[in-house]
Amino acid sequence: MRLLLAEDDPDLSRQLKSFLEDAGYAVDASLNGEDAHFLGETESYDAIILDLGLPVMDGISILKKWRGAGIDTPVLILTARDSWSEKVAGLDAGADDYVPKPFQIEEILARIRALIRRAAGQSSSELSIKGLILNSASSKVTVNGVPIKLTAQEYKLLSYMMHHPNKVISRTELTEHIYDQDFDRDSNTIEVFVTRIRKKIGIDIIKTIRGLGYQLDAE
Amino acid sequence: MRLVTISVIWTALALVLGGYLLSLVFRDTLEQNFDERLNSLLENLIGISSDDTSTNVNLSRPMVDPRFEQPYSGWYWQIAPKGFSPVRSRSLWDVSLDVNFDQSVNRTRYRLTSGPEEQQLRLVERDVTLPGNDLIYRFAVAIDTSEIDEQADRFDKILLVGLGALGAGLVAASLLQVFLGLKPLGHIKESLSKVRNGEEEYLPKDFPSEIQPLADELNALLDHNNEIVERSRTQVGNLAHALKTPIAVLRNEARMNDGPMSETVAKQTENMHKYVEHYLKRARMAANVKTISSHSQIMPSIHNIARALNKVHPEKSIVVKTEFEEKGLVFKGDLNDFEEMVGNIMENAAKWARKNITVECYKDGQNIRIEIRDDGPGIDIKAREAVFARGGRLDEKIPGTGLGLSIVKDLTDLYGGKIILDENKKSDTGSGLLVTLFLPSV
Repeated sequence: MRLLLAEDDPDLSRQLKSFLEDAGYAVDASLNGEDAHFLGETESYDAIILDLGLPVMDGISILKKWRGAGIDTPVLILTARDSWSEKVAGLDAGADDYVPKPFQIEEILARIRALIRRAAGQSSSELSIKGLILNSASSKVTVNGVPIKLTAQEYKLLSYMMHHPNKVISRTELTEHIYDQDFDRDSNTIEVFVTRIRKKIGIDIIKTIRGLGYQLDAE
Repeated sequence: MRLVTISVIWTALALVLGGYLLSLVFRDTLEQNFDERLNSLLENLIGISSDDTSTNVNLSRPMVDPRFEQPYSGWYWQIAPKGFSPVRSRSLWDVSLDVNFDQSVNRTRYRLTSGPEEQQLRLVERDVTLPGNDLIYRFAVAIDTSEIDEQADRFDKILLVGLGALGAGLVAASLLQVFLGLKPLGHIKESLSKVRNGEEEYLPKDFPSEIQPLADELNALLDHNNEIVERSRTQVGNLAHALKTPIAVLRNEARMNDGPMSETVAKQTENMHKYVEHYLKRARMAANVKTISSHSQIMPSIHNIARALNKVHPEKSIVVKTEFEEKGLVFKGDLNDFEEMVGNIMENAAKWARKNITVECYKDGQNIRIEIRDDGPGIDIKAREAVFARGGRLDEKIPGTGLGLSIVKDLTDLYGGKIILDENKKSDTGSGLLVTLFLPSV
C-alpha cells in the first residue's frame, strides 16, 4: 500500500512518514502543494493524506484539480482551523474524510485503513478469502486459524492483492504500491516475494497470469 | 424636559419685561400727549383773554370744549390776577384751583394737584401780563388724570391678553420643536437597542438630515467594533493554528518513544492541547457574543454538515427534517458557533450510529429546538454528565479529542441555550442517543 503524504511541517511530516512506514505503508512525502499535486496526478497511490494549509498551492485547489482530472484515490484531509465550513469545503471538493489537528497519529492510521478498505469495497478491517484472513488493523495474517509470519514487504504485497481480489495485477502495479518513489525498483523481486508468500500460506490462492501479472483467486 | 423648562422660563421673562417696558412707554406717551393738550388749551385760554378791568378778565369767546361748562367735569381753567379773586371755568363751580404766588411762574409749569371730589388733576400754569396793565395773571388749565389711568389700564389689558397669547404660542411652539426635534433621537435610541439585541446590524439610513450624521457616526463605530472583533478572532485563530502543529509534533514524538520523559511530555502536551483548544474557543466566543450578535440561517449549515458527514460515513444515513419554512429558522448568534455546536453533536451521532441519524428542527416560541438522534449504543444515564466535562471521553477506543461536547455545552450556556441528553426512544435498534439542543431564535 502506497501513500502520498502532503504536509508542510517537516517535523510532522517526518513523524507521520516514519509511523506510517512502520505500519507497513510505502510513503511519498511532499512538503508543498505544487509537488503534492504533481505526484498525486502522476503516481499511483492507495490513499492520500493532504494538509489543507499547504504553501504554493492550497489543499482545496489541489483536491479539485485531482478530482477534475478523474483521480479518485481516497483523500484524508488534515484541518487545522477545525471549523465546519473548512471541513465541508474540503469534503465538497472531493475529500473522503478529515482529521482535525492536532491529532493522535494512531487516528490517522485508523482513518487511512478505513479509507483504503472502503475504496476496495470492504467494510470490515478483516479481509477473508478461502480461509486466508488478513486483519488490516493488527497487521496479522492467519490461514485456517494458524498465524503466518510475513515480512513487511510480503505483508504489503499480500494486503494489496487481498484488497483487490480477482483482479489481474501487473508486476509494475504491485511495485508501485509497495514501494515509495525513491526506492530502487526491480520487478524481479516481486516474483521472489510471491514465491515466498505462496510457500508461507501453503494454499494455492495466488495465480500467475502469464504476460499480465498475478491474480488472487477468490472464487 | 430641561429644554422645555429653559424655553418656558426664558419666554416668560422676555414677555414680562417687554410688556412692562411697553406699558411704561405707552404711559409716558399718553402723559406727553396730555401735557401738550394742556399746553395748547392754556395757550388758547391766554389767547382769547383780554383785560376788562384791572381785576377782571374777559374771554372773547368761551373755551371750545363743553366740559369746561359742566360742574366738576374734571376739565378746569382759572385766571388768577395777583392779589384779586380769580376768574374760573364754570366747571370749577365753587372751588378754586390752588395758586401760590410766592413763586412766580414765568415759564409754563406742570404739576399735580387735587381738585373737587378728590379728583387727581394735572395742572399747567403760567404767569402772564395782559396788555393794558402790569398786573400779573396766573393762567391755569387742569384736567383730571383719571383719563390717562383709564387709557393706560385699557392698553395694559390689551397688552396682557396679547402678550399672554404670544407667550402661550411660543411655549407651545418650543414644546413642539423639542418634541419633533428630539423624536429622531428617540428613534436612534430604539434602533440602537435593536442593534444591541441583534435584531438589526446597523442604524437605518432614513433619519432627518440633522440627525443622520450622528447615525452615520454610530454605524461607523459599529463597523469599527465588528472589525476589532473580527481581527481578534482571526488572530486567535492564527494562534490556535500555529500552536496545533508543534503540539502534534511533540505529542507524537513522545508517543513513539518510551521512557519516563516521553510519558511526561505526552501527558503535558495532552494538557496543553486541551487548554489551548478550550481557552482559545472561549476567547473567541466571548469576543463574539459580547459585541453585536448576528443572525444565522441554520438549515443551510445543517444540510452542509449532513452532506459532509455522509461522505465520511457513506454506509450510514443522515436524514434532516423540518416542518417549518427553512428560511424561518434563524439562530440569534454567530454561524461558526452554531456549526460548532450542531456539527459536533452530529459528528458524534454519525460516529456512533449503527445506521440511522435524524436531525429534526423545530421552532419553539423564542427558541430553535434541534433534535439529533442516532441508533448507536447510547449513553448510560449515570455517564451523561461526564461527557460534558472538559476532555471527558467515554470510549478511549474511538479516536477523538474528547473536547467536542464540553465546547458545545460552553457555547450553549453562553448563548443562554440548553443541551439535553436522553434515550432515543424512536430507535429501531432499541438503543441510541437523543441530543436536544435549545438555542435562541430571532
